Amino acid sequence: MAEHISHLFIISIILYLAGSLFALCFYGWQRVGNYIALILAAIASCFSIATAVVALSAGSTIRLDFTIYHAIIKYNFLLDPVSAYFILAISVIGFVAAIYSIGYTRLYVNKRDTRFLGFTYNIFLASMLLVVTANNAVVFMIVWELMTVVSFFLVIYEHENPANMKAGFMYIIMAHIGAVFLSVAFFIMFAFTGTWDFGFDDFRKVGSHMPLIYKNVVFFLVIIGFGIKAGIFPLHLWLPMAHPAAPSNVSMVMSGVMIKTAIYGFIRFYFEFLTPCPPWWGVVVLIIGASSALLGILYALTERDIKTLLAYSSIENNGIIIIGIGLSMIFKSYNLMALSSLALMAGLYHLVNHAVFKSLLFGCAGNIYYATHTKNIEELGGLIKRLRVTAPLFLVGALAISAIPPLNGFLSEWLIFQSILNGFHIPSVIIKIITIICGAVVALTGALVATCFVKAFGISFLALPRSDHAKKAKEVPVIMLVSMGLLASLCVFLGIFPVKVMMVINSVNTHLLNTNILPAITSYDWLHTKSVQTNFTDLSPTSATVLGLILFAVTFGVLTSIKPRFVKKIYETWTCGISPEPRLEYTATAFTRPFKTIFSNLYRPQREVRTEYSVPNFFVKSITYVDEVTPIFEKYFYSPVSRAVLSISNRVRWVHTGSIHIYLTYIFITLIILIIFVGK
Amino acid sequence: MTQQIIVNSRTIDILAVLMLITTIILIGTSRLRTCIWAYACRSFMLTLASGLIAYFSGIHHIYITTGISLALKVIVIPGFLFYIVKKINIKKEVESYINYTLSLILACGIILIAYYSTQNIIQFENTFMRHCLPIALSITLLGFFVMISRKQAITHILGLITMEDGMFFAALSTSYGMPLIVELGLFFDILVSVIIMGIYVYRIKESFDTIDTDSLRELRE
Amino acid sequence: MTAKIILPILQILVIVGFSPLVKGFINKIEARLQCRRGASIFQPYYNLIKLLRKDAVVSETSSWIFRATPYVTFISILIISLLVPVLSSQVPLNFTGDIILIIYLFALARFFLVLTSLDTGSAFGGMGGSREMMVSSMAEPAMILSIFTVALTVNSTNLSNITNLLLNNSVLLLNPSLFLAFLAFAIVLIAEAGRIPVDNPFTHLELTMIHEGMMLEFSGRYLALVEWASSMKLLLLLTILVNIFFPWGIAGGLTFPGLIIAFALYVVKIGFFAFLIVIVEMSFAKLRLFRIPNLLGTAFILSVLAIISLYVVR
Repeated sequence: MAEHISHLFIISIILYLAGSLFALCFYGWQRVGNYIALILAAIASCFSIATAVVALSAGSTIRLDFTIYHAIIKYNFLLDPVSAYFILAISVIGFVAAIYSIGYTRLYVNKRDTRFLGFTYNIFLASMLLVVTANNAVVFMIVWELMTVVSFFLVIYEHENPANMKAGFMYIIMAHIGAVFLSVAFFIMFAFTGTWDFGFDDFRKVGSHMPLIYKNVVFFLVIIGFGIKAGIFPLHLWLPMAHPAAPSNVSMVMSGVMIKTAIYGFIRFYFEFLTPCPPWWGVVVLIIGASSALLGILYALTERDIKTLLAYSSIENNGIIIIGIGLSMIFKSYNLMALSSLALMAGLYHLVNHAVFKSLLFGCAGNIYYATHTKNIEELGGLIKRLRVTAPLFLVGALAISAIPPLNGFLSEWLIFQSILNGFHIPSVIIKIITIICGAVVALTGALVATCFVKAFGISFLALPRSDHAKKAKEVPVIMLVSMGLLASLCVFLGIFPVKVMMVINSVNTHLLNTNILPAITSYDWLHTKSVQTNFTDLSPTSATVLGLILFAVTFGVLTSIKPRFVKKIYETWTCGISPEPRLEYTATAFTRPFKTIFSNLYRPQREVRTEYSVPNFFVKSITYVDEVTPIFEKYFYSPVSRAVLSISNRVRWVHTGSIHIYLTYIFITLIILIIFVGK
Repeated sequence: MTQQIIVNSRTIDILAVLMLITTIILIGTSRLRTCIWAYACRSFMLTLASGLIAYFSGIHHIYITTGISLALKVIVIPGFLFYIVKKINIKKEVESYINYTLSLILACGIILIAYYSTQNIIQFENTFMRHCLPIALSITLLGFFVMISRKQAITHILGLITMEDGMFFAALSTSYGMPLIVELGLFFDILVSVIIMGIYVYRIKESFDTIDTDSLRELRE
Repeated sequence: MTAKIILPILQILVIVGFSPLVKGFINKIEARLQCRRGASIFQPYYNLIKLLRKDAVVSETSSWIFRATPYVTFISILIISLLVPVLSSQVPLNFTGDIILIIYLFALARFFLVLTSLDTGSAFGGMGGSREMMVSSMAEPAMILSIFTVALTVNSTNLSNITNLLLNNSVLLLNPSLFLAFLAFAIVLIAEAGRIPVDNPFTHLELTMIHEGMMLEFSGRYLALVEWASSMKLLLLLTILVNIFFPWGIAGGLTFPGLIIAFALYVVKIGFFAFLIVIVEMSFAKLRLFRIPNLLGTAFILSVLAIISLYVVR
């Protein structure tokens, strides 16, 4: 068994690498090179899905060790259920995105080197798989950096746009700051291992005898290090810039799964390396999660660029996953293992749900871009009649992300609420109150998400087209629609049949927490989801769906029997006597205007109305309305920091004289100091 | 028997919550008349609560305080306040230094602190009427908060008597009231202070043509 | 077994059948209090029958969303009426879902209604939709927290369990935290059902309306379904309020006499609360749009206090 799994895994990695190399081979025949690379990526993803499925069903831990002669570090890889779960999420999305890319890259044919896209895409997927399997700090950091660099190249794929370049640089700078924090965390822990291996196995033992003060330091380093990748507030700045800049097939993968590797890091550190952890860690994580969720969606709400909107919403969803993780940490530190498992299950369920529906939404945003060449939803409208298949797919994604039953978002939202409610088992009153306030935040977030996606779908797909771009839109290639259809059906499946998913997650939890709560939360297969504390509640999305269908049949039957010939006369919308025009329609800005007023303390909206007259004061030529949100995080958090950095660098500029002798002197002095330091 | 005790103490608790809600209305509303009504309502609840406590505990002197507080707090003081409002013909409604939402949130925080700081006491001292002490404390603090945050002199009076209500309720619920003579003294105090402040409001109005206490700064010179 | 099949049907019939009556009753009382004669309390039924017989006019700008919405709205509310204990605290289908599912099914109905409001391309619809989303997002946290207070008192989020436990254990009801939760829920109910002071159900003046604005373009069968769904929503919210906070009289089992008594008491309780709604509508003016968050903020703070006092004092 174990060999099978490791062979499958190695085959998939080799296929990814082969795909990336093939892409480079076809120099004159770019299109074929790209296709071969993407098809190989899809096949490789199938292999890694197989790896994950087999590993999860076996529930075992498999080691893959490569020891290179005389190497200090061992190339250790470990496939346990946690890794397998993440591999599953990554490779499913990778598979779908690969198929989607076959259609989407037509956008770039003859405009740009598509081989490069295939090449980096394959390496990107392989590096993510390696990140979640690395079992050695050095290896981890190498593949982590590889992932960052490769995704950086994907972000700046459309590099002639200066905004994209800026986004890419912002991304790479912040990612590297995160990497520095992580390395420091690893080094501090390394100091307590007593070996030279940097192996994760040593780190797993270090938690019990590390002094608390160092553990606290590592805790915060890890929060910042992985938090930058996860896009938590206020470290989110790169995310809404980089994800929209990348091509849509890449943003699918980045938003769907790449930022989840940070969650993987949290789980490894807080559930394996740094255990046992004090309760307040969990509280800190919980609060960070809740504030990211709320702020993320508040910024998404006012956004007009559909991909930026989706990127902000990724921040929000990551926040919800982090809420699950934080709750689980709190429960675990009070030794309430069953509840801890429930909360972790909620987080991990939401993780895979978000991967699915966010990829779906990014894919559909890609379809919109493919068909209309614009991402601004104010210029869209009426697409439901032009993109007839994309529209329902986007609607499924929007419903799922708004946690509307019976789609999958609802299930994880429900589990989060149940874990929050079970917070009354926590002994400390103040933590109880914090948990329940987080519950209120999740509720508010849920309602705002619904608003945000009503806006996103309603403005871009419904009513009359607002520009020529939208008017001339044509449906995208079938292969893109097929891959999106796969994701949409996954949304439905994960929502209606939750028990299967819970079984999978349960094997992860059993591995991490040594508690099996599956018997407690499910009674009938496929039908029933019960909460951990007995008699708390039941939920069966399957039966709700069936009920809905039955009731629909009955209602429709009754209505038809009342009036068998139901005629629908088609007529134009009543707009007080003027014929309907796109200019009369509600816009995205107008739709979210009430929220801007309510949360004006956060948004600090700056409004300006400029009127131009053809005849002064009588005949209006044009009215310009500008409504901008002040980016307070940039203004009050980042710009002071960057200004401070700049002023410091200005002050130390005299060090750089340009003379090579001076530089050599620096090196020499450093060397001397080091020698003295080591000699002591 | 124990069932009866639980029901009794829960009834008092619910009255306490109602008092808290009227205090929140006092903070939340922007109309002076509603404020005075809220005060009268709260005093009525308070009287009811003290009457019930007298009945449940069988301590007779509480009936006397109940009677006095009914006369004074439910009838005389609100009547007097309405009289002042009418007499000086206030056109501006309640003005505050902080906006509505923020003051509600602050009020929420104050109540939270009151609950949090009394949790150790209420968990050990008595097994019933657990909401009374934290609510009494929060009413007192909220009264203070009203005095700080509002501009007009008349709302200062309301804040002051709110604080007094809180104190009275705290004494009543934890130790069945203070000795009668102390209570009588307190009632007299509050009556006199309200009347004095009423006259003072009237005077401010006479001299500054407003009852905004900000204008008192002019007296510095 | 037969009772388990009959009860859901009975529940649906009660909710579907009586919801227009509640609306008619409210309108009638309101008219009487304003010294008007008012329409018959069966007027909503006449309207529905008339509408169901008519053809529909559909806007040419609209899409299949417009035609699907009435069904989605109606069906999701119908599912809710199977999950709420109406006459008996034993709901046969209670394994299907709990109060969180109910809240999110309301969200499903709302999601589609707001989409439709944008679908026809008229400015009024969008205005109504945007305001509806604002009101509901402000109301959602208060609603969830007040429900949580009840759920934590009896350790269950299942409405059937909640009602059962509170019925058998009435002392739990005399709880200040529940009282606060009740007040919060009552405010949320008014907001969600679109009554004065949050929304005016009688007006078609574009500057003041919220819920009606979204329904402007519907006609015929579609309008009937949407109107019916909205009156069912009002009745369901009232039922939840009544049966959670005042469960007395609801049948504990599935016996026939028990159900009869329960029905009589149910009518009385719903009538009483409908009357209270009328009193509220009569004594308040409609709030300015941007004052509504203040009202709902008050509800939120009440619900926070409810849950905190529950935690601290417990």
